[in-house]
Order: sequence, then C-alpha cells, then structure tokens
Amino acid sequence: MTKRNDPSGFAAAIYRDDLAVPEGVVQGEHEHHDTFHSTRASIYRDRKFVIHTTYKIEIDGKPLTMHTKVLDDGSVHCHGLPNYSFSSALDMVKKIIDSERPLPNDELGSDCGDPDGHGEGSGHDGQA
Amino acid sequence: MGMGKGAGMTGRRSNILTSSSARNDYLRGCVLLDQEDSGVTAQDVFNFLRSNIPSLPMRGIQQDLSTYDLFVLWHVATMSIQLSVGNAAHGGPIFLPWHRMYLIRLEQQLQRVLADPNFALPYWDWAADGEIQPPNQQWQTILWSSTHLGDARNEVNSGQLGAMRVRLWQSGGVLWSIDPRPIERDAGRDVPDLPNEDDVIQAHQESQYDQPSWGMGSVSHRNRLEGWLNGPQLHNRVHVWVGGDMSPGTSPNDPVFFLNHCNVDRIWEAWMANHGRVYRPSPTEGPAGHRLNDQMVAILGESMRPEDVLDPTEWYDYDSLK
Repeated sequence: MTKRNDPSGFAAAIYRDDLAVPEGVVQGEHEHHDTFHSTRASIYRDRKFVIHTTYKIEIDGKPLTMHTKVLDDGSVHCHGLPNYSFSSALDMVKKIIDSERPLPNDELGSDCGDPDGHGEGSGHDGQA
Repeated sequence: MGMGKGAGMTGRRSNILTSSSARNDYLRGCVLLDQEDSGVTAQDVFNFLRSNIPSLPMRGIQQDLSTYDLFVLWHVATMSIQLSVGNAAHGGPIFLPWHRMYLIRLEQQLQRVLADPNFALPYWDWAADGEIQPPNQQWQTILWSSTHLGDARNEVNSGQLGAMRVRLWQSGGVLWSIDPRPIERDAGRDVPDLPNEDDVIQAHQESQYDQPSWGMGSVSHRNRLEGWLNGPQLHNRVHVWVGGDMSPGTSPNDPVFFLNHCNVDRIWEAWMANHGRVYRPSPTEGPAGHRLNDQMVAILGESMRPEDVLDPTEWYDYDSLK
C-alpha cells in the first residue's frame, strides 16, 4: 500500500480515548446475553395493550448472543444482520448459519474470552 | 484538511450508468483509497474500540489498514453505539443526516486521491433497475460487468473493484481483522428483486420526515426510505438484494454501499424539494442522539449536526431529482 501523508490528522480520533458520543447512549445494550426481551405497546379503541416477547435461541446447544428483537409489524430483527427483517425466527437462524465463515486466530490481545459464547473460530454469531 | 462546511468546491452528483467519467473516477478512487496505507493498524483500532466503544469487541490478525478500511470502521463502530431509539446511525431520524455527513467525508477523500476538487459521487438509481422483468435479469445488467461494478455473485474478481480487498469484517457482535480477500456478493438470492418506482413514490408521499415513535415502526419518509415498514424495502432491500459483504455492519466494504446511499440521499433531497428542508425531532423533542442539533458520531474529520447538512448545496447537488 502507498502511505498517506497525514495519518495523524485524518484519523486523530482513533488515537484518543474521548470519542464524542451522543447524549442518550444506552450503556450495556449490546452486552452478550442469551435471552432477549421485546416489548410492543399500542392503543386501540381506547384500550392500551402491551405484548412481551422473549427469544432464547440455541445453535448446536450454544446460545445465540446477537441482540434480537421483534419489530412492530411482528417481523424479527437481529443486530448482526442490520438491514434484514425476517417473518420467522427460523428463517433468521438459517441465514445466520448460511453466513458463517472461518475466522482467524486472535493476535490483538482480546481478553474477553469467547465474546459470543461460541467456540474459537465458529461463525455462529455472525454473517457475511 | 478543510473538511468542514465551506471547503469551497462543489460537484454535481450523477447517475453511474450514464456518466462514464463519474463511474470511472469513482471506481479508480475507491481502489486508490483501498491501496493507501492509512497509518492506522488493526491493533490501533482494537485499542480505540476498547477505550471508546466497548460494545464492539475486536479480534483477528494484526495488519496495516487502508484509508478505505477506516470508513468501514466508522460505519460499523457508529452502529454499535445504541441509543434509546435505534443506534447512532440507523433505525431512527438520524439515519439520513448521518449518512449524508458520511458520504461528504468519503467524497472529500476521493477528491484528494483523484486530485479533482470537483469530483462528485455517482448514484445508482436502483428503482429503475427494479422495473426490469423478470427479476432474475436485474443482476445481469451491464452494471454487474467488468466495465462497471464487477461480478454480481461470489467473489468480485473482474473489473477495477477486483483489486479491492476486505480486511475488516463484522461477524455478529465482533469486528474481525481478517486475511485480506476479495469483495463478495450474492445478488438476488435473499430477495428476488430490487425496490421499484412505486416504492420510491410511496416514500415521496409521506408528509412527515419522522414522527413518534421515531424508530423502526414510525410511519414517515425516513422510515419508509430506510426500509423498515413491511421490510426489507428501499434502502434495506438494496443491502439485502446485493448480499455478501453488503449484509453486515461492515457493508461499506463494497463500494456499492455508497452508490446505494447516494441514491437514498438523492431521494431525501427530492422529498425536501417538495416538503421543505424540515427535520424532526427538533432540539426539544424526541430521542437524544437524533435531534436537530445533536452532534453526530465522527471518527474521521469533524463532527456535524443534522441542521448542518439539511442544505447540502455548499458541497454538491444532483443532476436530477427524478
């Protein structure tokens, strides 16, 4: 690769630990859980109703830890497939499995163990 | 670097299928940015994420990253910042202004490597291709040939983009630094067809930019254009239709990403031409992180607010809003 002549200026934020993030960040939203709760609420003919949905998904006995939720229209969405919405959680899991790829060993010093609750190099948490 | 508003030069964004100069410059510029060592390594990114965005863990190999890779990082990192509604770039009102800022920054980098201060991004009018019947012809047009964007399915080895390499790839909640490989696509498999002209008309007919509940259920121009209503539609559907590297949060790995978003931006601009340069939520309503005067997440260059980008004419305009 050719070398750009202003790396420190262009990418300065990467060398700081004070990235400006918006007010209202939800801390811990994407921590690795194995169950996910969705709440949908609405009012119809002056009656207020709430629908609670909980997903607990396992692949080969291991929990899927990607954040998963139900949208207002009843479709299912997961964080790792950010543009997809599925009419069935079964279809979502099939897509996740289809998208698995071999992953390299870690050389970057991660000390968080297996961040998604799956074996080293498995792609169960991911997609292409 | 003169990256803020008022940098002085403007360009006219044009259709990638009809402007051969914009097309060739764009493809050449993306390759140049992908072959330019940014001076940032995977280890630097690992340290940055651990300090700033711990919700996005990183693993994989140590390697040098290109300037283009840093745009991939910016996107996946921002969407890992969760707000009470959506994230810092998607699933809420901030979707359109954040991507407008993001495209402006890429356009400025392309102007630099191309040594052309008037260069402007091309757009892909995917709704026109969505009219092609039968649908399996939509991924067999000249756009997906070696003279244009290269292969529609499997590895992209043909054309100028065959020289690009993917180094950062999101797998679920983890950002992986991987052995460099070609871009991958899987066009027309997960959904059979692209959005069409009727879909765009529906987005134009929404009278509100956004409104409560603000998120993925909001009946509004933003949400219809982002594609969550009866989704995936419009913007989302283009990601899903192309597939492969357009699927995860590292989707800017495929330069088709910017062609899609340039067209999304053009549709928003056409909506504002009819409805006024209006935006909601105002500074006193709605979810934090999406309001008119909230700072948007910027990893490269200076941050901007939605109100800074509502009128883009200091940077660019479009050859057509039709």
